Amino acid sequence: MINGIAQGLTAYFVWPGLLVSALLGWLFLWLSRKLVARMQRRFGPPFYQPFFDFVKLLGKRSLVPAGMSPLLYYGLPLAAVISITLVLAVLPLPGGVRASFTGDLILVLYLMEMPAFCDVLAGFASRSIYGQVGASREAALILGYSLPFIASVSALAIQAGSFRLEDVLAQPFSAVHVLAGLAFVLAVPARLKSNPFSIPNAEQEIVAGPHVEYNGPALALFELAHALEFVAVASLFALLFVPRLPSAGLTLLAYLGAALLLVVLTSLLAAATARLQIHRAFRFYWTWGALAAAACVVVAVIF
Amino acid sequence: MGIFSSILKRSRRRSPWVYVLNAGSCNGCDIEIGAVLSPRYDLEQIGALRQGSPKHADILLITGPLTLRSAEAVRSIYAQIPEPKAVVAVGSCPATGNVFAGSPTVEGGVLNAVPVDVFVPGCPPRPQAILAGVQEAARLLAEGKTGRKQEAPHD
Amino acid sequence: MPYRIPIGPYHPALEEPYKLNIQSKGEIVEDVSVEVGFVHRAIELLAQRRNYVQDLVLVERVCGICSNIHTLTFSMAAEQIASIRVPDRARYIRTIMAELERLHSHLLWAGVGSEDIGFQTMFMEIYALREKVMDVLEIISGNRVNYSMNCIGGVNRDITDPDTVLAAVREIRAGIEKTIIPIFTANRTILARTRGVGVLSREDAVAYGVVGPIARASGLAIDVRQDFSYAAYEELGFKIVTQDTCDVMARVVVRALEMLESCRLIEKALLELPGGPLRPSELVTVIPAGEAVARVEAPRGEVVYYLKSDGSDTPVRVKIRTPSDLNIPSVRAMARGQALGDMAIIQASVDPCCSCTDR
Ligand code: SF4
Repeated sequence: MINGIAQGLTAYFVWPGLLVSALLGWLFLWLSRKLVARMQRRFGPPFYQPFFDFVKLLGKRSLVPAGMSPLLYYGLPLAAVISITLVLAVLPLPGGVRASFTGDLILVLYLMEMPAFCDVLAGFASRSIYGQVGASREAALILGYSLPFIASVSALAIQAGSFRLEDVLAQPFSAVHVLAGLAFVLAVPARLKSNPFSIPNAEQEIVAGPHVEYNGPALALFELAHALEFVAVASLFALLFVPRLPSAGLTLLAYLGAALLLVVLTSLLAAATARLQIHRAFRFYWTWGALAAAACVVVAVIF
Repeated sequence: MGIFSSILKRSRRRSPWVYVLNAGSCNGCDIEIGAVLSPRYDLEQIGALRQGSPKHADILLITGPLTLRSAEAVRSIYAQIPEPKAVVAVGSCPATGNVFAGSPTVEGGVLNAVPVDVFVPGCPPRPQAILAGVQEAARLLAEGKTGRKQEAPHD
Repeated sequence: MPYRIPIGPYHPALEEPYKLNIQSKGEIVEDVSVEVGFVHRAIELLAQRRNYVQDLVLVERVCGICSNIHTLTFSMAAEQIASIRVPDRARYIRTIMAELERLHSHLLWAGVGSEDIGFQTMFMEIYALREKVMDVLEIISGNRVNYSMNCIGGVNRDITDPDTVLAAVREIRAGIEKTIIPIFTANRTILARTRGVGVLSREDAVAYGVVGPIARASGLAIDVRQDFSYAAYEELGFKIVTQDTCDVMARVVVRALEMLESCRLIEKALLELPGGPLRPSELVTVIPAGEAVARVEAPRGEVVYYLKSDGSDTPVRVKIRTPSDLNIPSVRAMARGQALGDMAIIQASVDPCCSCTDR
């Protein structure tokens, strides 16, 4: 029992939870920034940049915006961090706890939406017009990317006939995986709010989107949640679409490779595009996203 | 605690986010700040980012001689930046009013509104100088030596 | 959901402080009003208190982007009153400076525009190219901004090494032809953000009295360089650029083609640079009594200076009318019915310059 609790705590706070994922997330963020900078023929930030950004924000004096309750102000980013860490703790990465239970996939799907929901709430609660416009855009975008994202994961679950991660992962590789993988990748840029789907935080129109009123430690938490989300999306991708190799070490390496690939791809896309209008982004997801979603679900049901 | 505060000190120096504020400049300084973002000077290599909201910023870059209509905004935007913060006055205008000194609609120098930590002289200063100014301000931030109210040039 | 969204006066989309009051329904803009005056420095008043030599320094700082144009127009007005003939070499150098300035201004605009549609890579690409223009300006004048090239009766500095400048300009032209124009006309995300957006019909363009690239993008063939030729445009054979799709894309294309035309003019002027003096042998400090109007095509359109002298060393009246003064209000006609997210690029497509407008 004690052992179990200790294991759970380790999974939550160390690996694959908070500590390691935060470091990994910062590394990913840095990599993405550096890649974009290099493609723009700039030198780019040093590798410790996201970490120093985080610490600096923690060390700033916070001003709770007028008209917003401190509970909400700090609660939202905290909730985002807590829930996304939970996702990471539950994922059966090599070396983590293998506490798979029925429906854990659904839990993962839900918890992964939490940071985005917290963003939206933060935007609406901020009482700033920019925050509200940003929030409504983000809400629309969630509707958009959820379609291929959820369909992709569901297709695998349908194929396995279970919403238990262990069962889903036990499935042999098939056409469903390819299609679902495509749908998943389609959803990634919008999930991570990177170009061309960065409209919720379009600096040129609405200053800083939902986070406009946030500053100091609370903003640091949101940034942390973003870094963790990066890792969560990448790990889920690796888990679902990279076959497990005989040894845990090799599997981990393969996962890392897949995650890095995802980071590189999104950065390349971000550097090569302009920001799409919200209605275009929405239309994109409701045509191509819907198509990909339908394709993988149909294939999963038929086979 | 010792470790944390030394890391904090380093990160303040390494991550100065800037907010650019035009207090009635002729644009000359603003376009040079734009050039600082460009690949040749690359502001991001010292960890600095240009932020759209003063609430996310550490350093306020002010250009222009402080026109009467901008004075209020300068004060309020300065107040919105969470502590610790630094101010860099870019160009000759915010230092003295430059060629606009003596104009009835210009206050002649931003010291009338906010404390300034670093002056970057020039009309306009070269991008390298602006970059150095930001770095200097970041160093002051790390050492906690910002916000000294220097005496105003005239009452 | 009806919103009232104020953009500005201090906002990341705006290079300079001015205020757009947007009234929108959901994400659709219903109406916009514009408020300027945040950078008013009373330059006209100051100019009437200082002598002509000091005034040249002052009017250069009306706007840091088109600084050269202001000293040029001011000098032209003074020369007109004093009937000073500008030496040929000076006229050519003035043309070269004016066109270089147009290059840097249009590139600056293209960079800011790409940032407004969230295309950071394009911004970097353009700014990297713009640095080359800045280098040329620095080679010629010794400064990157505010070149202080013009004096009454001629220019202050010579172009001592036309070949270096020529090589640099050719490189810039290649950059514009090979990267800027293809990306702006082929990248799907850019097209999605510019085509059919922010239309200013020909009628509206006339009604608002817009000038410069905006007017030319709405099918009006007006350009001071063609209509009231000055400096060396007559000899160099200026060709006007117009488009008639009236949208943001048209403004992009007009400016892009104008940059090529500028490169051509600069190259030709450098090759045909006549010899001779640069300015009158003696510094002109006193202008005889009289009045004059001078007009010049700045990067953003027509600049008009009215100058009145009473025969002393200080002008009695200096009136500056800048292009953005006319162009900024047209945002209203462009914005109605557009998406809120397009406001940034629409206002940027006008290339508003507030330090000119407010003076
Ligand atoms: S210092 Fe010079 S370049 Fe800068 S804003 Fe003032 S006048 Fe313009």
